[in-house]
Amino acid sequence: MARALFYGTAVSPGYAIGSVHLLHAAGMVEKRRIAPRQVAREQQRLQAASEAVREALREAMGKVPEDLAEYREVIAAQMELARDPKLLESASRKVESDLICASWALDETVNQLCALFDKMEDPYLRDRAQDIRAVGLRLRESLQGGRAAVAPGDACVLVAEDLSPADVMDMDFSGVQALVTAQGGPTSHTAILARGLRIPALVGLPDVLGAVREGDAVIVDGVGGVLLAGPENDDLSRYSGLREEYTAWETRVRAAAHWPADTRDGVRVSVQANMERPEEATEMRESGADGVGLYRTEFSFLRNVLPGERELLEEYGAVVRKVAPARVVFRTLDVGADKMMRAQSGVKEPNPALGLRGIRFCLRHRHIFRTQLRSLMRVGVAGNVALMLPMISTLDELLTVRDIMRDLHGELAARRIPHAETLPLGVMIETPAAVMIADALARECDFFSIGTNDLIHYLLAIDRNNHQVAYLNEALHPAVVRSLKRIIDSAHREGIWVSVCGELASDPYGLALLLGMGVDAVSASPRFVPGMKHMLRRLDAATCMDLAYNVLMSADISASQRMVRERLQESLGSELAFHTTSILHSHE
Amino acid sequence: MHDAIAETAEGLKLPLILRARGGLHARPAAKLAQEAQRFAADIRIESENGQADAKSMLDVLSLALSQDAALTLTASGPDARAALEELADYLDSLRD
Repeated sequence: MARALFYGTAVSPGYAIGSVHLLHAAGMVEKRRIAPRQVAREQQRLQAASEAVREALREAMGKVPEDLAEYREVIAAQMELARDPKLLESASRKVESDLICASWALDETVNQLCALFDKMEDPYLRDRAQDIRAVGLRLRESLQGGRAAVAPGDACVLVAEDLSPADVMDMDFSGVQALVTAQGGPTSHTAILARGLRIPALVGLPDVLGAVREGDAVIVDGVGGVLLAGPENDDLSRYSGLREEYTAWETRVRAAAHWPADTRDGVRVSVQANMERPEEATEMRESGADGVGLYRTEFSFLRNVLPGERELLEEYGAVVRKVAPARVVFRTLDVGADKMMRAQSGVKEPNPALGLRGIRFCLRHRHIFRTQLRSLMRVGVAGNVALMLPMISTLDELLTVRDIMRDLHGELAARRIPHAETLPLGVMIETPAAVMIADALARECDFFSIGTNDLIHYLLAIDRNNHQVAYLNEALHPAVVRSLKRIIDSAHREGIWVSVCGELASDPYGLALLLGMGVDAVSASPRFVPGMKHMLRRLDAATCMDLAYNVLMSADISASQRMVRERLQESLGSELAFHTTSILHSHE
Repeated sequence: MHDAIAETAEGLKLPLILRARGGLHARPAAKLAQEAQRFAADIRIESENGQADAKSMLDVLSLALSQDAALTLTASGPDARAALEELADYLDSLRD
């Protein structure tokens, strides 16, 4: 095919060159008209496919490891779907009324059902369309003679609509060089699987399925987030060079991942991992992270059922025990009224980013917040726990949380339930208001954590969903740089530590700047941790301090970009290309 | 609670209130369909959102049953009474 580029989100780093293997032969539905006497046979084939798929799913279920309850739940629902009367009987009726083959009838039924679920108001039910599609694809494959197995040793790039837990369990990935999916985000099953296998992965390439065919040569750039189809000789030689260098670099980086990150001049920065589900703990530990700098607690709240205290205790306890003796910093519930589960019958807000979200939501819905705080205090005796509050804009919010925790302590003590009386309590600095009162906040809390993504949006007054103003998203804008400096200095003046948990922390340029400003800890997705540690070891804190000073003095964004790029090229050389950056758009 | 089963022209009917916290989501809907399939009777669930075949998880899900929704289970066939009792017990077990 002709050379073409497809851009997606890189969720696992690395480079791969291989030929396309389509997981599902999507778009190739057999469309055959049949004679009336063939109706019974087609209906029997449908029934047989249902049984075969259920058997395959049952087998996949058997391979799910103990701690992946979520996978079991998804697969159990898919097993039920595979024999659902609504699905099978509608398809069966279609075979008879329209005189079409089983595959065709099934495909039409699946599309109708998906359209029905896609239109639903409840986001939870809307997501069920994924399950219907996944089961539909399996049924179709079974009707067409079963799934083509990936032969181990094949240098293949697996391309799929999406990977479901059952796909992850029942496939042999040993010959797979890279994963590419049309759907999915950074926390999809695809992403977690790829990072576990240490192969590059791209997600969110909606056009890729229509464009590539089985056996096509492709290059996957899991650093830049690009799939290159129909590569020319130049591309192939360039990328095989890159792949070789990257593999050598990665091996070095991995080998040292468990060592502390001390700069050349002996300054130690704690490099921690961001997590949002207990099953990511294995990846976190393997990454060499010095703890969890941000545990997002939204996941269990975004279903249609509010989690109970027992469920939260189980989740938080599992994380804390797996990470111990290192610390887990839990961010309390950070949702807006817009995203909140239907149990809360969300209010429609015209401007959710400035609405009732984070700590504002929690203080309004005290019963939810108290359940979460109580769970965290109880888990406090099981390991090393800290908590931090998102979206703080007044001192009063922080003091109110302290009051609630005192009250909960009384309640738990009276019922003789073991718990931590106090926990290190931090404030997330994300709003311009919090930056301006950082000194006052620092006197009342135990640490700061800077959420750089939100801070940049609020400081520069840009709506993250509005692409028209995306060009303003500039981490080296003087307003951002000066705010960072002000936050870090305010904290250190009161003797508390500062961590950065936004994208800036894993960006090489951001990391150098933050090191120069004296940040104590950084936290990012586990996949970046070894690279960040490696980079810190090659940097020099004094040089970075000098760099930070110059950037602080600069009112010109492009001059600042030039300064950091030159300084980093001096320190890191060609390795710089292996770090993913989002803050310097034009790196040649 | 099974005293509330009434005989009508369409079969046996049992009205009840769904007590499952947060409504009926995928796992309980799958379990309900599984239970229902053990009976020969034709079993339907009616709510203000429409009616569904209790043996179809998809159909049940598409009713988008929320907590405290008023439902009517209808069954006709040889084992209709046993089916209604069994399903009502299962739905009742979802409250915590």
